[in-house]
Amino acid sequence: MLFSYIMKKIVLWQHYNKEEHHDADYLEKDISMSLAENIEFFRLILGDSNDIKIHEFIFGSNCEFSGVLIYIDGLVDNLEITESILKPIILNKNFEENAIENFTMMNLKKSIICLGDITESSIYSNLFEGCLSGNTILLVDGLSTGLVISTKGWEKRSVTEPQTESVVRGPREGFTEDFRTNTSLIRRRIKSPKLKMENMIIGRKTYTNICIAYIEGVAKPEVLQTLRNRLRAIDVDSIMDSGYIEQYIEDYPFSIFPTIGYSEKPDVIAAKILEGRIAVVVDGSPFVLTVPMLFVESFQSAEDYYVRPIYASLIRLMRFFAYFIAIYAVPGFIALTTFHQELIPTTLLFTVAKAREATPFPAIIEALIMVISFEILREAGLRLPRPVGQAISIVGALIMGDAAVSAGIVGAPMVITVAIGAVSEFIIPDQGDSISILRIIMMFLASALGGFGLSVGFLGVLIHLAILEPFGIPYFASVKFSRDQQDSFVRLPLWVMEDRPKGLSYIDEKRKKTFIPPNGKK
Amino acid sequence: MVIKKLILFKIIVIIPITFILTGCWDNKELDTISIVTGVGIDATEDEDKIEFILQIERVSQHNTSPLEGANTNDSSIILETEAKGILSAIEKLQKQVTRDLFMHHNQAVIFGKEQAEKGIKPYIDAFLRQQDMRMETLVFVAEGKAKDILHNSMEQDSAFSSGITRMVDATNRYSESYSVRVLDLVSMIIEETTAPTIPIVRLEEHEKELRLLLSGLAIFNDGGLIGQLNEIETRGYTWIMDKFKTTFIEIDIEEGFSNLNISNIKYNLEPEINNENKLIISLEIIGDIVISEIQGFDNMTVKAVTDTLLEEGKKVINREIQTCFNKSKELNADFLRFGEEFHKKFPKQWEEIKNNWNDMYQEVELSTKIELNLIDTGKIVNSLNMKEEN
Repeated sequence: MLFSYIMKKIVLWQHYNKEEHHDADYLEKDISMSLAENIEFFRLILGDSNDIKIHEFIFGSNCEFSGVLIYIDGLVDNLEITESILKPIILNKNFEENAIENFTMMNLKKSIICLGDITESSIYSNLFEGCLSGNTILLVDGLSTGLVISTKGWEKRSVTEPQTESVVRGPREGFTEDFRTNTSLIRRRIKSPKLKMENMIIGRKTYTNICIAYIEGVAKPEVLQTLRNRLRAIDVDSIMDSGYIEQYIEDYPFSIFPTIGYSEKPDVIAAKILEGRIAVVVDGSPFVLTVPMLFVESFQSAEDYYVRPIYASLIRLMRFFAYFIAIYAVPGFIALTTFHQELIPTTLLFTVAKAREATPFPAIIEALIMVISFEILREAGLRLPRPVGQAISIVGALIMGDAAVSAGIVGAPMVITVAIGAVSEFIIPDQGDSISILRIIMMFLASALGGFGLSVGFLGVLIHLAILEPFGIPYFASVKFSRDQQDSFVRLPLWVMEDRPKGLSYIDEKRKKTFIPPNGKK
Repeated sequence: MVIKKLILFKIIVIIPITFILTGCWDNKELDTISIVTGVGIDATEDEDKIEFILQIERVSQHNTSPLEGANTNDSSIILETEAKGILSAIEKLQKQVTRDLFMHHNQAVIFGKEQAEKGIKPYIDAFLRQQDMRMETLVFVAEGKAKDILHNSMEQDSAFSSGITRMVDATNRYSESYSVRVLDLVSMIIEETTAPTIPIVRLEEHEKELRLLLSGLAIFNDGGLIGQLNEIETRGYTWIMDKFKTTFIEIDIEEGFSNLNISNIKYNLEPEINNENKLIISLEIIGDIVISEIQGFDNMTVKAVTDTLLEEGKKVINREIQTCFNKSKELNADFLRFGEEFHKKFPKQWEEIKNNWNDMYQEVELSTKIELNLIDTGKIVNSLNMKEEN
């Protein structure tokens, strides 16, 4: 309630402050017939940036035509421009006699230039956009259209193993920053003609390529339409990473739970697309988004499906358990030691009490010191360059763990509890942020209201989770639909999972036609 | 807009305040409580008053403040005071310590023998009534003064209270007779005819060191302690109450000596009223025997030995049961809960029986039927000096 109120306020405020201006308006006009005029216009708009190359040349049997190539150095493949555009045009001397009268761009496009991806356009904005995204513009004097020739070729990172999601078993490819590589990685895994990829360009200054990938008939049309509408509504000058897109299209910007999934692994994205989700590939980001995200997704790892089902189920249950430990270990410890001492086994109580004796602060302060210093250490370890990072772990392990206890600032049981909570958090990286926030909220609840506070907090979180419906699909769909239980708390054998998740898929619900166990016995 | 903002601000401020101000009222940090681990109740010269002793776990190693009781051993602090009631005693003791007395983790309640003779019933009340006293606290009667027992430390567990609970847990693996908790005691007290039993703890001197041991059961009636069961009678009690899980039967006859391990004990106790209105209890015990130790039995065949052992085993069990039963008649205390058995089986006749139960109890007959099955002779069949069977 409170959040939606704040949300409404912000939306209104933004509405009042919105200024209407469009950068590209003055580019929405036809190009001139005169080559000189066109070059002049390009120079005017692009300025004298030294990476913009404007290469004028003459061609034809008697050098009767003059043309120009405009491209950006570094974004294009120079060899390709020389071999496939310049050479064929300049060296071609077999133009017809009355070529000047009948000459059109079609001639060049169809019979001279040896490249596949060529579009013809007569509007400046298209030409500029093409040029700036690494294409080469060809203009010829006396013609009212120009060619945008795809000559993209720039330095890019090769496909490597992703840093964030490493697996023991399973594919090791990861997405890169290159848009085409990413879409090709998906396409390579799903060769069906029903895999559709819709393109979009977002960002008034960055002109970022964005692609929605889904399987027709599997993805829900409503979800698809909502996603399209939301993407189209984005009006912003820059998109730097898929994280930008995520924040612009998510349903619950103020919820601490993520409602849009992401992955760096093409096999994960392909599997999610096959379950009926829609992927959003953003140029320049190795993280591909999937919508809608369900709560259970955070607990599913790619490897769950590559190892045999019993072990996979054990690990799956372990993750749910670890999620609770990560949130409730420290608050639970606070509640037990400040309110419910009678619940602690007697011998343990003595140990804990002896440790408390030497420390000056109340349990909540002690816990806050440890939890906050852990968050600081983690952040420091993440941002630092590798070699320095080791120093952080030494400081973390020795100074924080050992010295803090022997100096009498925190008790050893508290250090252990915080450490268990912290380690458990790493099992579920997707929910890492929600865990950190919930843990601190629960700590305050526990210190003020004890076990009662914890139950109130737990119910509150549960109610909140049950309300979430990203893209119209319940966040708890895997709990709601009994069919989806096959892949939530446990993972059933692949040959048992006949149906796609109920909440997500549309017409083509069956994964396979008949039920056949691996040994063929029914 | 301004008003709405004010409301929003109020909501944001009020919600945390309601949590912070209303919470914390029963918040107790661990360093503000004294964990009570044992309670002792002794008689005083004053008829009305009791001496109340608390054993508190010593949490701080450095703190040797003379305030917290002068009598200290390594790990615990002993506090004592005289008062009329338990709660008033606790309140008095509270003034002697720097922290809140925390009763939840109390492990044992010990009555001194003198106090036990005067009566324990009035003092059990407080242990039932108070929120912070647990029903599963063990109850003991001390041979001597409860104070001496609480002062004594054990070899492996420095505090009496943690030691005694472990001791009872260890004996529970064989027989449950020694584990009487406040709740058990109460259920025995409220049964009309049952005489409550409480295990006895005793100090024994071993080379200048005092050791604690569980020895027998104390029998109570409404007034107080009326008698004690020795080792044999306690075994009999354990047989009749079906509290043995496994035990050894010691056989010491002319031919030799042996220990039989009995386990998988099946038990059936059936009260009957025959035509002459006589009360009969028939007890049936079936158990599996493993021969654990054999000395002697020279020149006998295996078959003969096993037969003798089983026969003797039955006699031993029977003897233990009868000794106990005789003791109970002698004390005229129905600590074997036979009255309850009749109550359950014959609720109608019980109305008549209960009025003159004390007289009728002397007439109750106990018939026992014991069956022992030999299932194993251990890793070896013959004794070292037994004849080969041929």
